[in-house]
Amino acid sequence: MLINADKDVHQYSFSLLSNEQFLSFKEEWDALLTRSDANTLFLTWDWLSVWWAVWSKDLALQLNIIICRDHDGELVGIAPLYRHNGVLIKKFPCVRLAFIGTSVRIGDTVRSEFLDFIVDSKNPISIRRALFKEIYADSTWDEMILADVLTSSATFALCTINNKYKNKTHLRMREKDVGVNICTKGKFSDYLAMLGKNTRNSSFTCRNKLSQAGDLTIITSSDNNKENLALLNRFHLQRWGKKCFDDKATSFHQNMLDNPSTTFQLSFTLMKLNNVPISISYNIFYEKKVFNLQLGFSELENHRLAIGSLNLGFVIEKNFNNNEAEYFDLLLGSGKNIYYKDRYKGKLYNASTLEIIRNPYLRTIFKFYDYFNFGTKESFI
Amino acid sequence: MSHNPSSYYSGSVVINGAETITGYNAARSLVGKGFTIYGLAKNSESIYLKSKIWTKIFVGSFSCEELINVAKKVQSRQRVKSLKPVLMLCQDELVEYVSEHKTLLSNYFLFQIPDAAVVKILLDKTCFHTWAIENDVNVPKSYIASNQRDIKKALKELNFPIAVKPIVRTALWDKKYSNKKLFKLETSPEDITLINDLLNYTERLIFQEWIYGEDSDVYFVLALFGEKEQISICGRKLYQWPPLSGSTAMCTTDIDAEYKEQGLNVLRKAGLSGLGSVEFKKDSKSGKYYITEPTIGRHDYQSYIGTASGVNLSLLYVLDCFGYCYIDSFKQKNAVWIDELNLLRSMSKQAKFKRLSLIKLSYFHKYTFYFANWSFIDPKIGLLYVWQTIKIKLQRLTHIIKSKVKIRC
Repeated sequence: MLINADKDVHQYSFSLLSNEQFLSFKEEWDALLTRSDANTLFLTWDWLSVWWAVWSKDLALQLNIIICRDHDGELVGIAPLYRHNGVLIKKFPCVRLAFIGTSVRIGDTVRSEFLDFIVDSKNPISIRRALFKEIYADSTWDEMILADVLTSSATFALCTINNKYKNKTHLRMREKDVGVNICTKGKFSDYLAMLGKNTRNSSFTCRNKLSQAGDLTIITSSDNNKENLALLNRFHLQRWGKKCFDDKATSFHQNMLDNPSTTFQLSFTLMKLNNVPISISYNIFYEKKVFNLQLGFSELENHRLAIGSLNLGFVIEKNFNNNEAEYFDLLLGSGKNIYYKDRYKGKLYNASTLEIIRNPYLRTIFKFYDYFNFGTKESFI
Repeated sequence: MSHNPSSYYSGSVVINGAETITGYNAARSLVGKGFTIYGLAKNSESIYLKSKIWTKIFVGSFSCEELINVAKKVQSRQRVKSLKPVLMLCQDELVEYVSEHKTLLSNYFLFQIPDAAVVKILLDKTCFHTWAIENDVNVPKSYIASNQRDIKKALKELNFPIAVKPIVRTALWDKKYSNKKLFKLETSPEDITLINDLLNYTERLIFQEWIYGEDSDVYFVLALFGEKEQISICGRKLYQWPPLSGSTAMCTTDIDAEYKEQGLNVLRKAGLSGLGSVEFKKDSKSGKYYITEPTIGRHDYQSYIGTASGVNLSLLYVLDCFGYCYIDSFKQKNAVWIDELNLLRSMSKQAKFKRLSLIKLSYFHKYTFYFANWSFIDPKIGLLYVWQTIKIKLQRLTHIIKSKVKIRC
């Protein structure tokens, strides 16, 4: 369908990707991603296709990827969405659109962050507007959930302050979260000087104390994946009372580790004291940035050392020494008791999960619900 | 701190001048968006401080040290401690102060303000006049006087009528001539003692040739020069208090490419960053626009007209400081903003001199009206404002009756 997306000169055509087309779309997808303003690990074809392969059947999801081409037929936009027939407020049937890589209101999967429409950065706003127009032209959906969208993204603006469809929808912020991105381009000594005394001690200086306590070994590798994933689960079970990866999530990561992607590299940094694992971090390197996906550690008896922080400190230091990596991203979310990530003096960023309700009945219910703040909870920020 | 799903944003905003209409209106522009709003006030007397909009009011004179303490206290109430609050200014004196200590304060607050040199040019009427002439900006012919000899010279060189204004409105001036921004000299006075006397209340006076026109010939451009976008709206005053020389009593949105471009050019040339505005008066004889007053680095008295018209510059300023994305595609809606009491005063004064024309109000029957004190989101302030006004009137009446009774006795 050819539409006049903006009142300007831009004309785009749209089509939906079938399952088969999606599976063979890697090249075009990743090429557009590198040209886009949302070039992140979680939007790579590798990440999303594995996610789709692991969860789509179990969660009964249907692919709804909209691709947008300009008048020359060049791919300029992708809305990486799926469709799900579910219920809302336990009773109301609801057709939901959501980003592939997330499953808010549907089930538990791994968390994919900074999700967005993938659009050519030459024309990011008009393509996004055109994609939204195309999505709204489809009258069959009741609710759209755009999870963990960066608030600095034009998609966020087009859903909030620049929302053209606000009279036809009710927008809710399901979640607001903060992440930290540390620049590791400069000198490590300058970075250390910037940190607070406690953070410097707990994450870096105390490594010497730990090595005095026994034989300390730190290994970074992408081998022994099964054991490493199991170790992360064990540490999480001890600290949080539940595993960090359930069976499906383990199979998702296992799948990625077993079939190494050409676009990103996964690795584990394991700390052992006297040959006993005491902490492990799970990191992925993509486009000059290392994403810290998970961190697990055990408490040491007779030592008041922050083992998790020491592991993080080691990985950050390593990033400073790595010429290819320029950033270390601690991603969204907080610690068990406090928000510790801002101590690492990175750049803070905000992300929100947007819930756009279009069904008139559901819209009325949620407007009423939100007006009286029934859903009010402690703000994370 | 609570998270309401209907509020899109988060973070803390600190607004100075919380005890004034300007500060209160700036805060009102941010209500319901998700921000935690704090106020800085010089005293704790004002009715505006009783609004539920404020999470907390800090009272003080606000030196650098005090401002840093405020930032630390605000941050300690957040879960993400290192998230700096946005500082929004509403008073010239703090604009000047913050611009001078920009580097230090930027470690504790997020804000956008031009450099101290730019602020000085635009805040000081003498500097602005010189700068305007150097930059081909249309300003009325003026003369600065700091002694009797200068005054004589100004009266000799300028054409009458002449407007006489203080360069800096001091506390002494405000005490002596509250609400009086300027004096109008129709003809050359035989006795200039009264004018010489003005120098007792301010160090320097500016003498300006009068621009002919009504209150409704005053136009303004409100602008935000953000990190990514430049957004502006145009407006026009309808009534001022005192008439012809005072603050806005009623204004409306207005679109005129000529003065909009002229205003934006001035702000661009001056090197604005953040909020700013320019006020023009259209000479009813020549049809030329003359710049009468620039405002820089802060929310203006009538800035709420932006919020009313759907171009919420205060919100956009905060979003820009926090790094939220927004796109300049706002459509300016027709709106009218009214400072209730000032409008009544202005209208009654004009009625007294048989200059009140109600016909011009009828043009705005399709416009949405917004008030400086009254709003459904915060009715308490509107009611307090009415009560305070009645109380003052009653006190004056009682005083008059008592003094008359005394005389009779």
